[in-house]
Amino acid sequence: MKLTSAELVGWVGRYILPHEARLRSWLRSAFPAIDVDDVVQEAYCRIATLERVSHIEDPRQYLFKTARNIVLEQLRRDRIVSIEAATGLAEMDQAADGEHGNPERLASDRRMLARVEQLIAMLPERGRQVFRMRKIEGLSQRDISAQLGLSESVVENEISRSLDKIVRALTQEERAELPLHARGRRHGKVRHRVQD
Amino acid sequence: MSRIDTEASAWAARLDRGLNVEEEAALDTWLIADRRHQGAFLRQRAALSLLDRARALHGKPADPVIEEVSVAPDHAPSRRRLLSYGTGLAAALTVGATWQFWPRARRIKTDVGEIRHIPLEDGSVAMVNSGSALRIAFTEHRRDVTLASGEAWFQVAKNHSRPFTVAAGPAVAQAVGTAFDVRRHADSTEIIVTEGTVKVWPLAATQEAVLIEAGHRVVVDRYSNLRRGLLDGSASDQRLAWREGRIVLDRMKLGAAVEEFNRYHVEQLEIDPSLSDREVVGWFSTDDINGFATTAASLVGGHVERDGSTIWIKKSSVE
Repeated sequence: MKLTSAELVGWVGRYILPHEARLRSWLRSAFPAIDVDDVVQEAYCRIATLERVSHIEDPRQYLFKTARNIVLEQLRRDRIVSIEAATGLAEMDQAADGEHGNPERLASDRRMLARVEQLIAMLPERGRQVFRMRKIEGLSQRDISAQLGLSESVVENEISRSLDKIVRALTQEERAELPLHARGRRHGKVRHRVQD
Repeated sequence: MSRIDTEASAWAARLDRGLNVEEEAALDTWLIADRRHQGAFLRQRAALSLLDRARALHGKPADPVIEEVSVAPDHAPSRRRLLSYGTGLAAALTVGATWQFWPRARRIKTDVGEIRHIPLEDGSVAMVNSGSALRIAFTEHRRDVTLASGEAWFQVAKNHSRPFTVAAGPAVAQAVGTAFDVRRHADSTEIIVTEGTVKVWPLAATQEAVLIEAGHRVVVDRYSNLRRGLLDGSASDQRLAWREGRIVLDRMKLGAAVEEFNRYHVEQLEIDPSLSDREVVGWFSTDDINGFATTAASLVGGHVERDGSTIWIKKSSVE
């Protein structure tokens, strides 16, 4: 099996992963009945099959569209479409475009790095130490194990566990600050306003 | 997802250390075992590569985020945003053009796509839907409204000595302190009561007035026939969602849904006749005709084509 190219890995790290949290909260709010993990996982599967990424001008939008297609396929397969689900589809474009030209978006790349720093800082002592040496000082796992007097497998385990934690924290849903003004309306729902 | 992620992290860490031949084979096996593995692996590797870049940040000034903010182009707000936030402003700007103050009468006209919230001088509120015209004439003893076309929802301030009367084509509705919606159809008028009780009678007065309670509706046709019915809470909410700039379709036939959308737009939707009986569901913004077209097309297995100011939903040959 061909290993995903380093170029794609770098592209995903830089342009896709930072938007996963938003995608998740978007999916959650737009499609309450859908399995968000499933859709996100499938989106990465599809991205993993990309031969090249040079034609993708707006990776954030690409990610949202990919997710949208996955949701649509699921809905058509299930043949049950709730009102909420169909609404989510209509608003998906808006969600993907939501931050177009937003300064926040330009800054998000650097903000993400700042966030990574924070996350590394939050790791347990040994994980943090290993991660810093590997990622900030650029030492190899072998060098780290020699310097710290740990076995290579312990170092590898620290990397693996810490990575797991960091990815989880990084992609956790942001519940606040959805880019959708429509969300405010959805909260109230017409139903609750009729009689007021 | 969690177990796969953990495995993917382990493989990413091994790859980061450097794989031996056996591990390469094992990784291959793992990747092939489940199609989700490749995506998860990509994700964890991507995160690890992102972490590489943390190095670039190391030792730099503490807050590099703010300095880039001013570089961003200042985009104009979207049309939708303008529509939703600017309704009040737009209304204020067009006051001169669309309102005429008569001694005691006031005319209100909304353009296609315009929905206006109009406070009346007695404390009542009128929400006027797209493409509607009404005349409001208040006197010391009466509050008279004429709905010449379109639709409006009224929240009536209580005043027993000044009945609030809406004349709309073949029907007249009167209330003292309630909320109700009046809509002119081509050859009938529909009244939905959302609060309290409303007295309704045909203009031709061949019948006695009937009392319509909240949660009910009545349709008066041009022959003065009066049909009343129950409208459960959610149906009434859906029917009146336009007040929030929304259209709610709950298993509505595509043909009817398209007509509903066309009320709010100069651009018009047309559908392949063979699709018109397909049911659609959804909750849309009244100004999002394109979003509706795209979604509706997806739901019925069609596609969208544009032809001048007409948006077609056509049947796709291959489903």
